[in-house]
Amino acid sequence: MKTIEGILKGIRPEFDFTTSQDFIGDGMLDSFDVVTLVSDLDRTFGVSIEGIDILPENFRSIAAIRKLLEKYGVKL
Amino acid sequence: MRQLTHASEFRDALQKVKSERPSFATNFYATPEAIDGWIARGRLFLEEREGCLLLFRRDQDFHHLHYAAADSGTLAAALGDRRAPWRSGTVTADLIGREADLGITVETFVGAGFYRHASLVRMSRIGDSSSPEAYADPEVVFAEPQDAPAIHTFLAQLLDRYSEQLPDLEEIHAALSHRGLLVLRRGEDLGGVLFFETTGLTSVLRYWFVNDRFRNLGIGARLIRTYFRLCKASKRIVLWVISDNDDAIAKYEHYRFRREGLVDHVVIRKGDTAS
Repeated sequence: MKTIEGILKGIRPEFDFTTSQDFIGDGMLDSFDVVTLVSDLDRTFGVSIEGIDILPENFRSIAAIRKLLEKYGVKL
Repeated sequence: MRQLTHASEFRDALQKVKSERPSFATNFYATPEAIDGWIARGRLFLEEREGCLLLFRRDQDFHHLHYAAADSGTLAAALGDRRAPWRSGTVTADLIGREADLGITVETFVGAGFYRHASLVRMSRIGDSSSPEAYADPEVVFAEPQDAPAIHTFLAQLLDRYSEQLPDLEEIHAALSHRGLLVLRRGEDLGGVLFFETTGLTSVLRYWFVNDRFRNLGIGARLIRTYFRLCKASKRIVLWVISDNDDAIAKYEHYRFRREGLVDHVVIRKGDTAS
């Protein structure tokens, strides 16, 4: 089973996502990467993240992404 | 179409579109700082439609169109309104994403009278902190405020204004103040310019040009090697390049840039009454 960390690493392998609490402010993810991330999260966890949730604050950190997935019923 | 005077007007309108429909698609990726700057300069205009928000950013004598739409149907309806005032002028849109995901969006714009103007691809270079660039060149320097008009004129002569986002003087001054503009002078002339923006671990190489009069003198290499040294803490450098500019792509590949999966299809609609 892929993890959130694994998905992030797949998108941007050059970064260590466990060291940051603000992926966007730290330049690790940009808006375009978020589009890719949403697509990968949908496919991996079998959810469909709605447009209303595609906001930078939901993708700033692993904790924020985990919270978002839990909202869609994903057990992590 | 109304002029925005505060970012909250945009956020409220966006939230309305989001809350009305379950899905949502957009080509608006600007940072809050960029939005505030455009509003302060009177550049942003908003048009609200059922399930769709159209945002127009004035640029010289045309507008960049951004959208936030519930689906392609609401977007097509908003773009197809023949009475909309924006249809009298020239409008461009950047349709960004993975190639496989963009088909319907491009078709929607083409169906509303837009035509394909250019395509850009994103490339990136992953830094290697174990081999820092030690290069130092005394002739490659940060641009000074008095260089701004010459840099603007220089870029205006080289850039395709519809697809390459010509920076205005305010943006150039902002880049100067952030030490994001390198120049190499040749007498009274600019021999070359390199414009970049760095956020955290990522740097964006926006423009890198050599004056036609000083080609084949190694100026471009000197500029980019200085840039690599300055941003050696950046783990990633990204840029957009016109997809059929094979010479530029080959040059970037020489410097270890590789294509990513993202493309930007630039579409244009000339005004109904424009010549």
